Amino acid sequence: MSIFQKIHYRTLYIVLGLVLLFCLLLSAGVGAVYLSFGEIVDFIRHKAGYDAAAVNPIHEGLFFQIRLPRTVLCVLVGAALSVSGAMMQSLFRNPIVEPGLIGTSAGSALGAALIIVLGKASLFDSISFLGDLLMPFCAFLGGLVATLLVYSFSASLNKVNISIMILAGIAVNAIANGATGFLAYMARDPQARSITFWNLGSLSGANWKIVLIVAVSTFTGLFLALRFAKPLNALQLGESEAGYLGVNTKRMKISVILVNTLLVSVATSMVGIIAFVGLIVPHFLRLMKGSDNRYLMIGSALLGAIVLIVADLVCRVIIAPAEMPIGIVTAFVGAPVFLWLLTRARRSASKGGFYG
Amino acid sequence: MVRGEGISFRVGKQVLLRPTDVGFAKGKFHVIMGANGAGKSTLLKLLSGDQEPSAGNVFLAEKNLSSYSKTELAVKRAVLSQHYHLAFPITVNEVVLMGRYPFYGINPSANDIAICRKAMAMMEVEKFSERDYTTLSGGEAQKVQMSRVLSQIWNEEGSDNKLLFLDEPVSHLDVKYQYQLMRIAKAFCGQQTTVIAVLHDINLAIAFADRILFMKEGEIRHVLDDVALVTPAIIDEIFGVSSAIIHDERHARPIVVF
Repeated sequence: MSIFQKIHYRTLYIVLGLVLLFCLLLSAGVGAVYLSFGEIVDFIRHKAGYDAAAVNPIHEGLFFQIRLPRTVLCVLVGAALSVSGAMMQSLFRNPIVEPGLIGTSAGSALGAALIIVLGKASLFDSISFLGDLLMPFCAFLGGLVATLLVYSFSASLNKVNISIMILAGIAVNAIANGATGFLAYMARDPQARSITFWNLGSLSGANWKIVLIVAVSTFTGLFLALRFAKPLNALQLGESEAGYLGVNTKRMKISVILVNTLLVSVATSMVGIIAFVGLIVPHFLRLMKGSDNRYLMIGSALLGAIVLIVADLVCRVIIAPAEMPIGIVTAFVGAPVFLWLLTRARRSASKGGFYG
Repeated sequence: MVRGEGISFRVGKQVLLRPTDVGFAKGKFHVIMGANGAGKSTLLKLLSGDQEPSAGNVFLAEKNLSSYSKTELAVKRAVLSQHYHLAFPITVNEVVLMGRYPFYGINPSANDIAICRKAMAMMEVEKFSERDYTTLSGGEAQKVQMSRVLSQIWNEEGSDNKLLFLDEPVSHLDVKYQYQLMRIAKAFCGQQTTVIAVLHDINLAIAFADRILFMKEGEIRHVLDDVALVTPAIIDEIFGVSSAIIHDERHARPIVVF
């Protein structure tokens, strides 16, 4: 596979962890106001009550109320999207699957847009006790329906038909996007603008409440995803073969789709649609050290977090003091990488394997 | 060991297996033969629990197959299929380790790893244990899969009776490895393991089988408990080719020439 083959999994995790830590500090420091590493350490010491060294209270507030929640949210969302991409690729046994392709993102977006526009309407009275969880809840339902639709179309006769999956994905995405567009059209101006902005993804609304909600879904999802690593490995041999190895494939597929929807929809309902992260992060990991799903999931969580922090950093600095939606950055970087992967696929198709 | 009572299988209106009663004695090497589309793979799928019969019941160790959980079955029986296509790169080691998945939770025990090593040594695939499975040739890949299957039904002290299904296991192998694989399957068979194999090569079947079942048009036409009793008439009926049977003193068993 590559020179990374010689490196132990644990070493790679440690390296990724250190890079992540570096990116965290960088992201927390860089922005309209520059915070040095020393300052950040002071803020944390001050908050923890160690010493009251002269910290700039405005900078401290900026750090704790804006920078830190945003950076932590990047970590959580990047991990959620990448782990979901890795899981879905293994479930469909196809390297081009990602949450955006199979309708999960668009369905979640529709579910959340319903709440943005119809928010307090009587339709939602019966479930309004959910409060802050109302939006992620509806996003979950939307994402689940869309994913199940695409999956049920593409997986007939024990075999996933990839061209049907892509076409069904296009159709379901079109329906969901059309409905979201309709809602944006019907909505009054501020709501409509927030839908449009949020269709491109943005982490600018980050606060600790959002971080908490996404943390719960991401950690739950990641924990469950790790439990499916072994059966997903077995599934790579084929469905009957996974069954011979003791995997209840029907039940596992439904569970994996549920976990995937949890990861993607809650993140999407909070930060909007962020494309391509779920596609390229697992790819790089596969190129490095193969496709053991346990490695893919741990690695995706770490590398996905790194990628999203960097992407968000680019959004904040590239047209500062204004800010670009993160979906634009991930699309501009992700799509060319995707095309590069396709040329690899075409070249290695004659050799029999996607990764050659 | 395994027994089908009135089992049949149909997809829509098409009957793939007519109602059949069939039994497979413990510790024997059973071979199923027949032309393409005779229902061999269907019978194997029903006996291995991959598919439920449309009617009738399969019994494994006198217990209905449908009352076993997937994991209970996985520690008793292994299946080597005809084709494996892996979409993603994964090392040979990891593929073989999958054979031990039914036996461990999160991390494999030292024993699991030792069994995989022994199975790989037996199939002579240790030398590419670190290689990417997707880069292997068809024959190499088949030997790796056989290692995986063997590690799944590896006989340990005090372990139960095991059942090994082979669905055209040698289709990608050269002659030397065809015989090697069959010898290894036969060696397993002598212990607590029952082997049920679908083969296309009648001479390979005669050389290793304790019993041959001939299928045609979704039913079992002939069962030979003594493989030496094979006749040109049976071969003509099943495969539609004329043949001669040669009894040669250098070989304990007869040879079929077409």
